[in-house]
Amino acid sequence: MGEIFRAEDVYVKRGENLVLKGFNLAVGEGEKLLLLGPNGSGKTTFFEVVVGFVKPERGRLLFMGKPVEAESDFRLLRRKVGYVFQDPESQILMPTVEEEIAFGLLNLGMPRSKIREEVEMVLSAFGISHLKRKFTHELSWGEKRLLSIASIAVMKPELFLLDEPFAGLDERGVRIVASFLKEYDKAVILASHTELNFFEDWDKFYLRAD
Amino acid sequence: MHISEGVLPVTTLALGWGATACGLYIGFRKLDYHRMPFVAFLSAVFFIGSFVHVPLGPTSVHLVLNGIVGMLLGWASFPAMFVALFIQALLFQFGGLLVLGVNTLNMAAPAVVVHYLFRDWLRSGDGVKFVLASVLGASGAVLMSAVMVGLELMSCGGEFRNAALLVFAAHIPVAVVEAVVAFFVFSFLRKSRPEVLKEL
Amino acid sequence: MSLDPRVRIIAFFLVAVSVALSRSFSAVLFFLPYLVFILFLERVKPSHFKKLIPANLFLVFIFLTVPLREALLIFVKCNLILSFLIVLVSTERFPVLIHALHHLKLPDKLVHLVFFTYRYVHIIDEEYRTFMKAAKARGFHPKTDRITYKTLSYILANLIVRSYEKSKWAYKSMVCRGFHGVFPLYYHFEMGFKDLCFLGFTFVYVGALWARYSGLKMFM
Ligand SMILES: Nc1ncnc2c1ncn2[C@@H]1O[C@H](COP(=O)(O)OP(=O)(O)O)[C@@H](O)[C@H]1O
Ligand SMILES: [Mg+2]
Repeated sequence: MGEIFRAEDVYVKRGENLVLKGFNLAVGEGEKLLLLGPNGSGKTTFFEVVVGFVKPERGRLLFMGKPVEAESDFRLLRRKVGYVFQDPESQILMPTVEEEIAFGLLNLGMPRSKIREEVEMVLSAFGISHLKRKFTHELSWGEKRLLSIASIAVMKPELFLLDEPFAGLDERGVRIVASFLKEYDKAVILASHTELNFFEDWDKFYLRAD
Repeated sequence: MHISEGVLPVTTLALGWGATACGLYIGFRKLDYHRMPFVAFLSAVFFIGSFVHVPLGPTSVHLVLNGIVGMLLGWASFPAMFVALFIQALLFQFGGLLVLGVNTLNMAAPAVVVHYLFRDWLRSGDGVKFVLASVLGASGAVLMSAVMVGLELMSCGGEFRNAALLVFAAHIPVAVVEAVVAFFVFSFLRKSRPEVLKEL
Repeated sequence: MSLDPRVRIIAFFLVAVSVALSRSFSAVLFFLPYLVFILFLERVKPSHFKKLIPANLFLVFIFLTVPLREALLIFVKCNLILSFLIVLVSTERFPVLIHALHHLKLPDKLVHLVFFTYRYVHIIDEEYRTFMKAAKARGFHPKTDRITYKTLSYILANLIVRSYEKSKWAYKSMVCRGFHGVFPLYYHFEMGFKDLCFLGFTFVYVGALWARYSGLKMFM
């Protein structure tokens, strides 16, 4: 099995604090990983390092075997890595649900007729087909959360990063997202501050706060 | 204060559109995509400002914010305020689409002026300069807008002189309120989030 | 009736500019039948016309100071133009209108800024309400004093700080989803037979007015 992503001996500073100290992590193709740690332990920071928003002080990142350093490397990486933000409100860009889901696919240059199909498919996979024409500002918190996950899932990323995706979701929403992720055939890293009992068989990775 | 449709002569409307088009051209040329979400957010703050009622004696005034937001935006004031007024015109019929050029000019031109006059003082460590910049920038922009509205009304003909004076007088309490608000707003930003002011 | 939003916008500008150009009651009232005709087509709810009230507040200034005849003409023109805005444009869904502006060749950056701002107006509005509720829940009662001004200003300052922070994430969200300098738009329109009929009718109607007042004489 090939390796998708590896972080080697990464040190990251936020403000004055060293948040990640000698951090190591590797994900293989189709591998599922839980990133666990209390608030402030650096889960979000790690995701921001992966997609290149925060630059590490030291250490190395490898994506599909190649080192990622320059901004152009990160640009290529971001086409294959999907990142669901901790706050759905600041991830959602467009005024309506269907446009929000189409945004990434339009950027990737997919033809419109194909996009229409993909939008329908992901909406029904996440059980939000009825919201298609709704305004994003009219959605409930949980609906925004499902939308923010669906709008990344539709891009079928090779590596799927989710930052506390269950916060604010009801039971039905949790079930939908969990079963989607279990069946997702590519690599997933899911950050959470609580243990999640329905991912028994996933590898766990712990971050400590200090 | 937005001028309504049907009031101004067509030449004034056209001149307003011309000047606003120039402002928009400069504003958009200077506006990179990475700054666009911030400009859009401040445009939204400017928009909501017209719904914030500040009590003043027995009545209340609503905020104009073209100085306060404008000092943070500079030339981006034209795009930001144009878009806010455009959405207000469509959703609430405030102002209107034909007077949109004039109304944008009235809000954004003073904003650009106070931005360049006061931004250095606003960022400076000198407390006196900082307070002067907040107070004069905010109230100055409101008063400049009032003068422009007055002049535009005068372009309808001599019988509009009293209307112009009345509109100007109505802006004086607003300018005072904005000065006080600006003092508190910028003090807050300077203390707790100085990076917002640093990026001017 | 479902009209192409581009047709709505063009028709609006045709009639609105004509009304704005008119300097006599007879020229302005010439458009009343056109308004009635669209009202008949569109079945606009009467409640939409409540939005005319704020515009007329400005006109109070005019009525107080300007000769009555002049003020009345302004009153009729203002309300007529805004009624056209309501029945032709504002009845359409807002995102659809923005797409129409794009297809009418307005500059891209302008269209995108409208997109963002429209969404953020709702976010800021909700935050403002939440802050006000939080303040009131802790005994804030607005009146003309220092604490009121300070509270309202700090709420405003907080809105600016939130804007600053959220805008950073919004740009990240664009970048994460493949944004590369071209902002994509999703809806496309096709002009149909009834759109062309409606546009043709509007042209003829406006043309008739211009002919009747022999073109530029209307300015006088
Ligand atoms: N923009 C920032 N500037 C300074 N410090 C930050 C910033 N973002 C996060 N931090 C700090 O970095 C640490 C890790 O934060 P974060 O990655 O958000 O943790 P988590 O997602 O696990 O809750 C925290 O102590 C936080 O205060
Ligand atoms: Mg986090």
